[in-house]
Amino acid sequence: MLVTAPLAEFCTLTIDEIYGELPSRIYASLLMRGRSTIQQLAGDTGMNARQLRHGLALLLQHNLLHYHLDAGSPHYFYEANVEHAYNLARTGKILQMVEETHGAAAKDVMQTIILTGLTRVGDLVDAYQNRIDRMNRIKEKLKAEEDPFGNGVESHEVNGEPKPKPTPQSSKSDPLISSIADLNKIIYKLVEAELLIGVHKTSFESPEDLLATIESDIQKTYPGGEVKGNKAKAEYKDKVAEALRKNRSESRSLKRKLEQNGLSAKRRKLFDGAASANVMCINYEKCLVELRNRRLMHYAEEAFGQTTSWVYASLLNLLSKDISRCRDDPITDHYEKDEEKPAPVVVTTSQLLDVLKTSLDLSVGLGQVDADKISVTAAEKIAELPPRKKFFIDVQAEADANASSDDDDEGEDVKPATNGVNGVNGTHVTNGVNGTAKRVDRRTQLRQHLLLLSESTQGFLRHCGAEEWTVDFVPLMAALRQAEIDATIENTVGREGVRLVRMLRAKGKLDEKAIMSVALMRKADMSKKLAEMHKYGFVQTQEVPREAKADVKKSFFLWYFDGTMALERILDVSYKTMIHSLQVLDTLREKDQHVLSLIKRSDVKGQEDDKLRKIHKEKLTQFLKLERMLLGQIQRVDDLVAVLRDY
Amino acid sequence: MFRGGRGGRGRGRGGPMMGNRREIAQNSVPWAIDPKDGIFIDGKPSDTYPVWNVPKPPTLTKKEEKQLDYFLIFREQAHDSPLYTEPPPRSKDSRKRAYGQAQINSRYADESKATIDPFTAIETYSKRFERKKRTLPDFSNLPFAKEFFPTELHATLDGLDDPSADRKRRRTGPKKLAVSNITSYGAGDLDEDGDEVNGEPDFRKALELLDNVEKLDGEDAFLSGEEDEWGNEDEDNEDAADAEAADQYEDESEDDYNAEQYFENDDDDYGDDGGDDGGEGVF
Repeated sequence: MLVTAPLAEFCTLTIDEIYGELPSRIYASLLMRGRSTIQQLAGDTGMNARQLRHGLALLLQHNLLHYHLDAGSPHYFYEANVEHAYNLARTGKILQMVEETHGAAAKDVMQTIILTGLTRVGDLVDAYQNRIDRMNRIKEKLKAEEDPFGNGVESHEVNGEPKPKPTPQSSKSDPLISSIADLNKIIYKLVEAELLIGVHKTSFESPEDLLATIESDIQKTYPGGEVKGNKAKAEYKDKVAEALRKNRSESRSLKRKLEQNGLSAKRRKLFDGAASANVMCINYEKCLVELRNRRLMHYAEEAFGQTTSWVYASLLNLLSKDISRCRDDPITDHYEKDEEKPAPVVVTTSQLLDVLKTSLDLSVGLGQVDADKISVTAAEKIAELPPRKKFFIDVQAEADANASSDDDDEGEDVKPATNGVNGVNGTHVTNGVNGTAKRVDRRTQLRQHLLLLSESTQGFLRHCGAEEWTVDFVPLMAALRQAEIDATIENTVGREGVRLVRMLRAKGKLDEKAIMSVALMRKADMSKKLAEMHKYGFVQTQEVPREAKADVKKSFFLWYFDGTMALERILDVSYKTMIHSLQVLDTLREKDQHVLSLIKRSDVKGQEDDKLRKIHKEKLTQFLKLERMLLGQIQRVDDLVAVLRDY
Repeated sequence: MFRGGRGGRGRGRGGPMMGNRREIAQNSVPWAIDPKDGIFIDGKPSDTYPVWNVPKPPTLTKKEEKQLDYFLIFREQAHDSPLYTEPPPRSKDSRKRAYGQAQINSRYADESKATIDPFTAIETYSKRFERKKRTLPDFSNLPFAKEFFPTELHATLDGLDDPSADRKRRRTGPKKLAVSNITSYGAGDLDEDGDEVNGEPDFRKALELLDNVEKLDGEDAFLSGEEDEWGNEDEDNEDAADAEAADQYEDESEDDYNAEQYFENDDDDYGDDGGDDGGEGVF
């Protein structure tokens, strides 16, 4: 991630917002000066070593720093981990995502882990055990006092049992996690989903340091420590990539350990032994994959409607089980030979049909017309054009969830552009008629949705083999990024602006007159629009002199659209908007400081309604409303940033 | 006379009288060269208060509201943790533009006798209810995976990174992780619609309330503030309670933020802790 000044400031402010002033000051200095030792930080920030040690320990505990120790050197170098700092602002989204996929109890555990930072499994289990015990005690007490508060807490039998069985009536008032077995299950689930990963020795190395260490290690194996010749260089590159991948897979060792004894009966005792010594933390990379799925579902919903988007969401869920990160690292994911590349993940129609909820009515969302009619026309249309690809039917691939490699190679050859035609295959539909009539119907409807998705211009889906579907994330996200840029331009300068940008994108660099002839606009309007867009950084100009003696009056001025520059410009403005929101929030806080300090008092907390005066209540309500608006704005802008930068 | 109108009335008008904005625009932008339909440059001054069309964002969706709630509660829990450091109140001019790192740093050290607000600095009864402000994170009661930290930070994580720790009793309790009890942000009571902010069952709210009641049982504990929210959760433990009380006492004498000693002990405490009584640096 390119760390620009606004991004650095936003990260600093976010840390200040969540963890307080001391760490944010250190962080700001680290971002400003790059990697530093404690001594250098002391010189820069004017803090003493004790403060710095405390601040750095805090930052490390929350996984916001890299550190590195050169062999033989007494000084540790600390470096800011900007990705993690930025992702702090996404905590709300991540928690909501976890709740949606894994339930409220999992969200609770996740929240505790984000809050703690690096968490030892044993400590976490102890903490929850503590809370469970305490709650049981309180329940007993409550029962003894026979609910003197009348606040609706239903007391029920617990008697210190390790796992109280919630009755239907009392389930609402039950704690989220009522036993350690539940907790273990949740931890297992989250680790399995890769939302939690183990921390290992090199977790805190910055990518650059890691690469340097690995490179120097591998260089030593060559004679003279030098890599000579093209073949050796390619081999060397491959070795480095392999070492990096090996290092990366180490964080998944926790998952592997759990999978080895992952039988449900054993899960309860899973963390009693050596496993409880494991340290874990949140895996933002995987969280981003999940958030991307949600975003894609949102796009699909905009394009095709709800039912199709739900189908798409289930498909993405299946797909992303094997996807660990949104973007591949160019060095780590470098493969010398194409055969070594991991096969793209594929989902079959049957798999999808199995996971789809039966309550989901697939006939909805395919248009107002009769569902039968549409399926017939679609099948007929395709039957006329039997593409070459549809004839390879790999039975094994159908059966095997992880499709075999030959099949995938074939699948890769299918260009997304040809998908529209190669989709529905009449014979396949009839082939599938093995189960009951209703099932076939559902299957056909599902196929309709899938075909709809694969025919989209954005390329939501690719029909990569018989009954096999995959998503090409790179071109898809590029298309969506472009759509977002266009939307931003439209909101900023209006429709004519987008029109001109699209033209420039299609034609490349154009002179004024050429644009005029293509755009069919009045020159004055067009020039004004172009100048406006130039001001916002959406289009650029290039001056090409007509003669050797560059005369401004005689030069050509070529207008062009540069996607990367426009994207960076939008990102820059986005960061600044977020910074501004946080600054405004800070000012508001200062303004209402006396009220805010009042509600933090221990005698007022929780009973604001009784203890506060009316005027203070009004001020507080107003402040909370404004705070929500500002932070909500940050979240919205972050949605855009995520699409443009991270997904 | 033609004034304030279209630019590009021909190229021969470059006299000294016309060396104004229009003239510059005429020569520098390519479209202005065209005399017929060059761009219209308005020579009028702009309005003092132009109509500013402020775009209003649409209201948050239900999902976004939920995400926001979770973020706010997360933030509240983080602020409640012993690792949160709250800044002392700043003077107004700390927001002024700073030139250079030295000036930025000086913003953070402006707590002295001269900047104390005489209206609030006097100890009053209600001060007991105020949240203790921490200037350094308190690591002493939390467990850490020390093997992943640089060795130079190990003492800090143990809560031993204190120059006066040898002379005075160390403030280390049992190292225990605790689950935060905070379940609401802002004034949950003020919410008109009355649903739980985080959508969780009301059990935990009851827990919070009962927590307070339990504290009321021992009046002292209640008055001591919320120190026992984290770390020491088992109230059965008599020793822990005693230690808590002792800590409380120590806190009074050995304030982390002792403004009076700011100038007396200006040096940073690299290793030397002798010489001055109670000599803890102030940060």
